[in-house]
Amino acid sequence: MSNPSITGEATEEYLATVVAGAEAVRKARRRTNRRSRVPLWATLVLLVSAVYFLLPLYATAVFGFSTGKHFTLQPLWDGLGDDGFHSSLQLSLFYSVVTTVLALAVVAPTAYLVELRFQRLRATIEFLTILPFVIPPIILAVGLSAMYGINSPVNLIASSWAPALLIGGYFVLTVPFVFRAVDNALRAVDVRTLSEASASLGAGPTRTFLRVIVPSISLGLVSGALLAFTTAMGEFTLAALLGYATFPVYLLNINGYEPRMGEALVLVSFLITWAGVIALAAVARRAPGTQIVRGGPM
Amino acid sequence: MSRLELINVSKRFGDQVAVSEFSLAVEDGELVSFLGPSGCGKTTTLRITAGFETPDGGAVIVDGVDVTDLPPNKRGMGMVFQGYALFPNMTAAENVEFGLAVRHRPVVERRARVAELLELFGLSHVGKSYPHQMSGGQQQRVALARAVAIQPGVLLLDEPLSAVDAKVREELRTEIRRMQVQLYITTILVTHDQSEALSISDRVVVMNRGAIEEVGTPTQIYAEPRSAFTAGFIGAMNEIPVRVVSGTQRLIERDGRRVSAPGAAGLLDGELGLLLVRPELLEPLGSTTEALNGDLLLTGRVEVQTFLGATTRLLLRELPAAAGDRSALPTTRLLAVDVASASASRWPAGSDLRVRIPVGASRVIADRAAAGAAQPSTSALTGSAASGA
Amino acid sequence: MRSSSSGSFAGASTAARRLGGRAALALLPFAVLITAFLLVPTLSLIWGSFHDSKTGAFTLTNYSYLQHPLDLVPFANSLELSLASTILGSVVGLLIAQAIVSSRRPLVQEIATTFSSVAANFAGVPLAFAFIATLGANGLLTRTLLNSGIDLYSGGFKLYSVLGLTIVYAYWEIPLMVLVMLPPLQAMKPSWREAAEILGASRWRYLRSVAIPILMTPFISSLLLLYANAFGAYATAYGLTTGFVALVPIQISNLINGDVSYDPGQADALAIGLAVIMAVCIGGRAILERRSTRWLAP
Repeated sequence: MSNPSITGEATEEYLATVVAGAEAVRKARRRTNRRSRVPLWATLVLLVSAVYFLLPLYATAVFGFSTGKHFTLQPLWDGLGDDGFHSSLQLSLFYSVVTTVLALAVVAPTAYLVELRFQRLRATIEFLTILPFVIPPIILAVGLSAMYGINSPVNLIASSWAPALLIGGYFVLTVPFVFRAVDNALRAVDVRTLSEASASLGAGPTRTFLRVIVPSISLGLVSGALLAFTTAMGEFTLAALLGYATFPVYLLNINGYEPRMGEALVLVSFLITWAGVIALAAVARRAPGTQIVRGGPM
Repeated sequence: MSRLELINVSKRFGDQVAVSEFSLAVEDGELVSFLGPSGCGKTTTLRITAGFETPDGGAVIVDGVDVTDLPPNKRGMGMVFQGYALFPNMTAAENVEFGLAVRHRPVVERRARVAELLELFGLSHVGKSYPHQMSGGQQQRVALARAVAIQPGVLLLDEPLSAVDAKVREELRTEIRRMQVQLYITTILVTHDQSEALSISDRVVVMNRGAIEEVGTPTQIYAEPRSAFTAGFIGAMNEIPVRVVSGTQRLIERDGRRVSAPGAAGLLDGELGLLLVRPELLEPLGSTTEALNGDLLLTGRVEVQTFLGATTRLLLRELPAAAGDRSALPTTRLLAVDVASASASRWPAGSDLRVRIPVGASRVIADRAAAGAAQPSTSALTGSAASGA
Repeated sequence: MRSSSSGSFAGASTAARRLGGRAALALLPFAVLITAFLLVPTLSLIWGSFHDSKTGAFTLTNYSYLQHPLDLVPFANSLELSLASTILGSVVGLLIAQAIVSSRRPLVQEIATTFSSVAANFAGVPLAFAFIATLGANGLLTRTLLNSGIDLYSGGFKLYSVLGLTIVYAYWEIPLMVLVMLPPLQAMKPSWREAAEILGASRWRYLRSVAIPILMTPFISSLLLLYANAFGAYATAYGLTTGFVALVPIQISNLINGDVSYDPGQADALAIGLAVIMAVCIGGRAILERRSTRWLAP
């Protein structure tokens, strides 16, 4: 080696020995590049957990798509054709859509006004939107039934206003997500300047809200709506305890009578949940920070 | 105060060569900088020295002991990371104390040493603060204090000043040098900032694409670069086309004028070469009758003046001389001449001037581009000349 | 862009003032719905808990369970279940989250995050039936193990038990843990570990002195979330056991729906107790959230 950069007394022989010996040891250990290697334990953990999470789905499919002897999709067709399935799904869709629309229509203007003008109320409003998290559906169900149930002062259930009870309950349950989604979207946009600009051009407050604000927070509205809709579609506790025959309630009952059909429909329900999450994830990609998970007990 | 040797270190990531055949000896108390563009392998070499990467070949030797197979926590080195890497859950004092605590030094001794170091680095008043409460400069000093607290034999600095404001950077690098000299710690500094490397190092290692391009003192690297890459990378450098008359006799010619050029040794007779001259060495000529004395002459028109502070850089476009024997020599198009800003008004944009090119101490390298294609280089100026960086 | 709170633009306050009284009206729907379906039921809950269900007289007997809470079987079971699923969910969830971060592959992370969101939303009746198909008396896994010579059920295992529920709850507790712990784990800088290492620390020393203190706050916060979720869950528990296993939410529903054990006053008191537990958990989380952001801010 005639590299002029090395100084010192080490002879070339010594250096060659040192280098060769160390290299041999290293080759024997066969260290791979640290950068591209996935740790073994990580792979194992992810594999095992994948099995745990996929197994119930697989078991459901095996049970639901068979006659006990061989594979068939007949239980699925039976289920999809069942009257109970149709009526309960329709009912769930009805409640989910109405709740979502109501939640958006009420919460969005409220969040807008709080941001624009009623800043002092922010703490109160935020508390009210955290409250449903603290009050899981079971408690809400007791409270609603205490106030509007059969043996109570305002008997909504027996009246023709009965749907209002579940809609009201679902509204309360979905307020936290809708508010948070809309509020985040509002804060990301300069609401004040937009409103001022719109007012200076002669637009009234309603027009400002509908034509200016709503389009700017559309992603927040969509994510809030998706979360509200999927929550309402999958909600069991309130519906069951207050006596409404929604899809989750039907699912529980049908699995008692017709297990195979029931399991097939369980998979359908899972696919609906999956579709909802995919849609939310697509929104989240365009607007980072979107909440995808309820995060509260059911 | 340890002697560090890197012997034939090499490393690849997949099929990308990160470091190849890197050999260097760093003496006790020396500060050596690794300087080069991003991707040149300087950080990888540093991390191999520290032990965070395992070399595919070669060895790291400290005071004669082969530490290549030792993990980082057994090498007795200190390191300051880009971004400081201060532990966010500990105060400045606790951060500095960490290495001593790991070594189970008695509490009294630890506290005393920490106080001493905080004092030395001017951090006594922030000892109880957390990293998120301190400024960048303060965090950097804490990182330094933490690294030297354990009295390491070798100190490794990975671009320690890149996250700091420009103004603070100059103060801090002087402080680093002062501390390094005072504590006599063998130090390696990785940086992409030339002025940083040139101002505080004992020696500079210029790296390019994983290999050592050149090693020398700052003066050597700057004034006598041995390779075209170094010449181009360090500061601004003019490349003036000349023809080599004789490599053995060290003669070059340009514009019909033949001069002696010791820097042309080793080049082939008749080939095209580039004369490398720093902008500050080019002299505008006063009167036409000044003797050239073995220097070359070039006439040009000032295209633009760039104010750089103390100096002003004149960018010249060469004007073709009277018909001379310059066939097959590519034209020098743009030339940079640095003059004192006070006198820059003598040569405003659009004016013509004649420039003396000192040949004596300048290197001549082969012009491979011109030999290959028949295209003249578009600019005689290489390096970060235009911006005066 | 955060809109300024000082309303410095004359135009903005004009626009807001023009809304003036009408703005307060616009907040009315929200106020009415929240009052009717959240606040009033809560008040009637509280009221009902202090009154005897049969006589209507003021009484404290509904709260007698507070003296010896663990004597109440549902409470003991709920406590056991929540603790078990919190421990299982947090340990496994943390492991999975770290495995995801250690894999350093963005694809792994995306898949894991999406699936975690789906799994966390899958809770309730469908999940219960998916697990019945897996670990029930005739479940896929049960039968497979039987064929290999392992008889789960003769060994005393029952899906309709606290143990079974723990395994089922893990299906959404683990993903929830992963989603909550992923951001803090990703914010851990590799250079901290390297700095510790070059200062002489062993891997354990680094964990003890740096990693664990930094991650402690988000970890405890997620423990509280998991615990609250497990304690307040009704749908999954009911779907799996149809009331077979005594839990606080199940007991509450029995007290308002059961024929034999109808006692709304007692149900209200239990519900308030449950709400207090939820409030403590959520409140604790809020306090911890504020602390943890300082150190992990990029």
